[in-house]
Amino acid sequence: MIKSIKSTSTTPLRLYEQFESAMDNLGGRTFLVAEDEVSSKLQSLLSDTIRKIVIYQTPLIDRFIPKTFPGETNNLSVERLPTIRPPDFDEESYRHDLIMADAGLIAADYIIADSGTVVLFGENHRAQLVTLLPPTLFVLATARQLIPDLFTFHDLIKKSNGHHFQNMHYISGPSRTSDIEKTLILGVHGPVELYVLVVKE
Amino acid sequence: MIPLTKEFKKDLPRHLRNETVRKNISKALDLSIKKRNEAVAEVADWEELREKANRIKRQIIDNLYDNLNAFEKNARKNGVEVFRAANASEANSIAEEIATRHAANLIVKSKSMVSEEIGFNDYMIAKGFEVVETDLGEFIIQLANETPSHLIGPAIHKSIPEIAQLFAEKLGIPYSEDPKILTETARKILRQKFLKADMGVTGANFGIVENGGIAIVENEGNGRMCFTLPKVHLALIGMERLIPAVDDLAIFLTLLCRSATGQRLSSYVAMLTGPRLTEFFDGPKKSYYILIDNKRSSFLKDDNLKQALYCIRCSACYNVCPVYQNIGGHAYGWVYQGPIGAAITPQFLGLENARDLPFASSLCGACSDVCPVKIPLHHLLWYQRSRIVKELKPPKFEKIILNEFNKVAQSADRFQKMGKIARVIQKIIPDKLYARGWTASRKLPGIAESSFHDWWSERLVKKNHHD
Repeated sequence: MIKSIKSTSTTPLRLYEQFESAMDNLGGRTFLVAEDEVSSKLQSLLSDTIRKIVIYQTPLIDRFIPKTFPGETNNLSVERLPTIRPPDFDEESYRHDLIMADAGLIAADYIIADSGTVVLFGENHRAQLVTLLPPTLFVLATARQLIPDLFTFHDLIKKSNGHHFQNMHYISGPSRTSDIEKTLILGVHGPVELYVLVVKE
Repeated sequence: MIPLTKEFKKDLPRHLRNETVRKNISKALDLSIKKRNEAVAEVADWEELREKANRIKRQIIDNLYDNLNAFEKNARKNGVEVFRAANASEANSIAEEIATRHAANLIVKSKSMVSEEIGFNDYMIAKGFEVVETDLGEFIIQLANETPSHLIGPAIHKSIPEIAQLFAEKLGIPYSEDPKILTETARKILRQKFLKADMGVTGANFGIVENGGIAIVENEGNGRMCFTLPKVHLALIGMERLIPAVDDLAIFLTLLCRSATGQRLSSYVAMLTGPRLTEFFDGPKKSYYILIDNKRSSFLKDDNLKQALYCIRCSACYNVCPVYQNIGGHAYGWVYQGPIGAAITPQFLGLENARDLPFASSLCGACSDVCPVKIPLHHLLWYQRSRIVKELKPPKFEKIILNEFNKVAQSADRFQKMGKIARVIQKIIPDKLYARGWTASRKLPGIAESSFHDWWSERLVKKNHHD
């Protein structure tokens, strides 16, 4: 269908492998997890340095990560943001939480295999700072959200009349710079580490 | 910035002799070209994409004023306040008014070429605002009180020891040549600036006509900080930056990212449509666009030059240009450098003030070959040369010589006689006296002892004799 990129992978597994290799090149990490393993995988990725995480609680997160996460035994502090900004929203404390947080967790709308891209729009893009301020970013996605390339993605949103969404963000890997003698450094302003958990469905 | 384009010729030897800069640049460019070529090879129909992008940009530019009106109308619907600026000083005073309105004492800024073009930083700083460049390369340049020498890598002319020295002096950290420590230092300082800033200023890679949105492409995340954290976002937009629809991003992002940095996509691409909505947790409360003309209308009046407005500022033409590779960005003396800069700067600053730039090319065409939107760059350079010769009077001596040569070259007889005279003259008068510009750095090749014509006649005579 799309000529523009030499993308021949069509099966979800092939697409996942392509996504994984693209993320690898970008310095991010990808995990394919079963539906009932999401919480435990996330838990295992939370290193000792992560004491505080902010979760943007959209429906996909609700589906796979129980409200009880991370359980009683863990001394991890969790801040949850509702899907829509509540009337009593306190911007100062929202910012403060994110400045202090070691990690953020957000759900993706789509993930693009060819470029290792996480796409956020619609309900998943309303809390941008979750994906920007903490040094580690976790993204939750499902295998069904995998799309071969940018051209397929734009075809898809065109068909679904997706032009009514407000903003849109493509995130491909951690924040990076090569401004000092072309030396690649990850995490110049945004996250240093990026983990994408892809749920097998 | 004050243009130094008039001094181009005079300054060239200094830039050519700067071995450090040349070494830094060539290292960076080699890598950029390699990565670009690899990324382009992955796209089966790259040539078709270039054609398509060229057609799309032509449609936009051919009806630019209509497209601008539609873009502005849609942006207003989204709640963006839109201004038009005819020139640099109008753009700056509008920005000043906006900043004053919001008491924006601290302004954080991401990379924007049009802001360099209008001298935004100098203007705002002179008016008492603090303006902080937040792209790492721009941050380094601002610390060093220099100007960018490349579109994508503004600090590529600087080596690690130079940056280490700069950071130690200006930021008071222990001297370190570890790029990671240097980056970490910038991150810490700039993070505080982002959190305190009253206004964020960005450029726009694309303005999307159908929804009035803008797309911003970057790798560091400083752009996102600039348009997410401060309560006010101002986008400075060159008025030629439009594309028709959101879908066109697929083509233009593919072409831009792969040409600029050899990435399939840059780390962060955002499409923004306006200020924060009620369900949003963050984003600016107020959004402004300034659509900047600043001589762009004059390009539209010229069928050749208007093609230069297709440019998406990827810098691929800089990287492959044998002239840029040897002299670096600063030698060009202004904001836009490399082949595209040499072609458009005379239009921005006046033919007279940049008359040497279009001649800074071997016309090899490497720039035209890599241009992702198929701007015929070397033709534009040639075209600008012809304008310069027609509109500005060439040096009298040059004119006399060329006129005389014209007469001589029209007759075989005169040409031969002239050749004979020249052969004698070159033995008597040293070439330094009549070709100093050439002999200062090179040997002037002499005219051959005997002309082809003589040689041939002689050979014919001999042959006939043998027969």
